[in-house]
Amino acid sequence: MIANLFKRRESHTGIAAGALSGDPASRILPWATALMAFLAALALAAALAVGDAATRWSAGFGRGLTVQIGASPLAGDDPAARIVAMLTATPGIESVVETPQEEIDRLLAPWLGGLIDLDGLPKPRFLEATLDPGVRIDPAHLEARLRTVDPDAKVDDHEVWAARLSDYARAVSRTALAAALVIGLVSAAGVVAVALARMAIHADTIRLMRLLGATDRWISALIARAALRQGLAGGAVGAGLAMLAVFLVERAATGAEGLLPTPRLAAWHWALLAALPLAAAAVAVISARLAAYMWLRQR
Amino acid sequence: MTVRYGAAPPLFEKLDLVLPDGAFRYLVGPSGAGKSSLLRLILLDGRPESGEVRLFGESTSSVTDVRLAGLRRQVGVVFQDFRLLDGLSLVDNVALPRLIAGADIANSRKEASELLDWVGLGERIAASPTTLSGGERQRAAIARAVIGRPRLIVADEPTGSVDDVMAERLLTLFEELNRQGVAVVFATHSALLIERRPHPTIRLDAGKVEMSGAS
Repeated sequence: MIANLFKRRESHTGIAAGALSGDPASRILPWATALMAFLAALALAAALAVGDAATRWSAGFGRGLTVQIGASPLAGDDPAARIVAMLTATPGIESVVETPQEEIDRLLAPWLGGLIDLDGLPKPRFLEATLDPGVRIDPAHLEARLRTVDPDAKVDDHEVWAARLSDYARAVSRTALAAALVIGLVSAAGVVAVALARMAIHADTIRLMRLLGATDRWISALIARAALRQGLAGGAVGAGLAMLAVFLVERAATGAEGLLPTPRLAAWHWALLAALPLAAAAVAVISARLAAYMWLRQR
Repeated sequence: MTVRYGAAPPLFEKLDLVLPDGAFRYLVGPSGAGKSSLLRLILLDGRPESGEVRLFGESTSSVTDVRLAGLRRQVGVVFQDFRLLDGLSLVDNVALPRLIAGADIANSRKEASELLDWVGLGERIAASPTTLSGGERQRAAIARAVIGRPRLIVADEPTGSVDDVMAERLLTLFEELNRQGVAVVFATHSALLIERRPHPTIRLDAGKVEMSGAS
């Protein structure tokens, strides 16, 4: 019974498809599909990861200000507490948190190397202010107020950076998505070319099938059936290799997060990439069937 | 009907031919007289320049692709060059018309095996057509022509590549089918065969059609 489950199920078109096999055109298709699926999967992975990063960056930076103040004085009055108090009292500011020194050290470490003792260096301090939803604060005006307490104080508006970064990331994401779509269209054109070549190569067999009573729909299903199998196989190989490449790139990026933006794929992104062979098969089936049908209608 | 290829003079002009149900007709004539062209018209593989082909009483001038396929399924065909498909086993070659018609696969193969047995190829059902002799291929092609239980069988020089003994055996198969009510158009060059096994004849020559022996 188990063996029967795995037994290849025969179909009418499956048997007849044996008469259209073995031509060079049909041998090219799985490899061409694998290559296209590889490129499409990489482009899609880039689009998804960068698009997701853009959303995260936008959400993470969008509702806040960063206030940079001078290093802790070795002696005397520390202005940080007064700056925090001033910020907290400012209408529209929800909360203020000082970035821990360990976090600043972690961000600086890749740039300064492990040989420098960061503890001995005067380092800037950062206060992260979260704004109430929908509130905008003029950073220049706030900075002028804060400088009455600490002349080194600087205010950085996240929204400006977030908008620029987000715009850039979205542009990259859209370009990658467009590349994936173009690759899909090129794949479809390739499948059409292969289907037409197969029809021409097997023109005598197809003519015979027609004389034996085959409809154009039935014959185009034969061509589409082969394209389905080849699209699935090629798509699985291409998408599988692309997923492996993305995994290796992500693994190589581990530890470099402080230096470079390292977009990562979420679980659903991986699921989408894993479904790419199905999309490749669908493109192959639709393209092959249409090409075959058009060819038959002209004859 | 008028049939013409390109700018050449008409192959047939004012051709008017009726094949009664259950008839057996030899189709004879010199090479180039248009035997194959006439058979192609009967198979609905091409259309006349003027006039129409009526098959089983139905006009085929403006039928849909699906109806055309339906009409063709009622015609069994034996080609001069057999046209068996090398990519399929012998049994699947014979079963192909039934598979195309959407019949059950197991039943189609069973019927194909029985027909191969009938034409003396019961031991070769799994063989590739490439391993068969000319006579064996011809018999397999006849089995394929018969499997769809056609109302009409069109055979283009089915004895052209076999010896006289085999030619008579093949003709016997067609006569047996004809006795079962299937109309047969049997194109041949063999005067000997016609003399030994007489049937009404359609003679094509220089665009003219002559009927002889028919009541």
